[in-house]
Amino acid sequence: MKLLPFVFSLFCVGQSLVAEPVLPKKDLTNKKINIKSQDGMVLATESQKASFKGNVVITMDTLLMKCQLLNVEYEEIKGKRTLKSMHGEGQVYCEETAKKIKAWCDRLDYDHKTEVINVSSDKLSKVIKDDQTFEAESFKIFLQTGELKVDKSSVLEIRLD
Amino acid sequence: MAALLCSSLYLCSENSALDSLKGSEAKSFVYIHYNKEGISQWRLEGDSATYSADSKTAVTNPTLEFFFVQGAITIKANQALIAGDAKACQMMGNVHAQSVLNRHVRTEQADIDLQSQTVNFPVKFEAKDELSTLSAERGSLELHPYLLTTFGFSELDYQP
Repeated sequence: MKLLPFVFSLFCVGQSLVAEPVLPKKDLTNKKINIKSQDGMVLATESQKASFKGNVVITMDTLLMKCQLLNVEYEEIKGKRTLKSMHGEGQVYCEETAKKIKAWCDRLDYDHKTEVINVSSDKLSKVIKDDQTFEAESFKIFLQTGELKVDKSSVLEIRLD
Repeated sequence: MAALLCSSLYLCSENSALDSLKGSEAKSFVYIHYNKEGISQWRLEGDSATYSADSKTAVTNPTLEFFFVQGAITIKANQALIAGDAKACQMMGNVHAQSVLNRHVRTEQADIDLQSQTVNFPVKFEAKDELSTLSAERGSLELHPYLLTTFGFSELDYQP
């Protein structure tokens, strides 16, 4: 029988929500990246930056991100151009299929070296992990372990459907 | 054509003056554009040149080369049409631009502002280097500093 949404609130600061480091480590370092945008892009070679706008879709291995505006920074490491970070804004959606994580938020920051995603919103960001729903102002998602962490002092809502 | 002659120096392998070629074709065409300080900025060469009444020069199998400290950017095509005032050049058919960063741009038409050194791509184009491929409906490329802007649907594939 499906339970009614069971909602409870926690006042938490920097609290780790999920402790399941059982999954194998994920590595996105050498993965192919595909970025599509409806309204064009700007690539500035000197500053090593690129920006995309209009229904932007980013695919990187099992990671899918959607947003309206995306700023990408890259760097040269040993002469090889490498992704450094991504910042997405506007109706942001993020999905990591291998870790069964989905997130909805206003802003998203991804650091390629640590493979950590910060999601944040003016009001509430929503994350679904393993069919559990979490709502808070901002989260940190550790892609290598699948761990989820509330980054900011806020009210956390966990819905057990 | 007079403005083109006045504003720059030129070389032509078989003729001493471009004016003498009006209405005819030469075996080869080389045009070098210098700034006021006498430094060469760009060079256009091709197999043959045809001069029309509207002061435009049509060049077959053209190669347009821009000179920068970091190296040259070369644009090749089947045909080029350069305005008499040497401010704009249109290149058509199998357009291929290659920069010092080993970045290749391929398209069917490029409209080049020779003064601002900006290349506009009014039709679909593809930019490729050893790690990534970018395709877009339209775009523009500022040659120095290298700034590529696309318009409409764009797709970037990066394969490390």
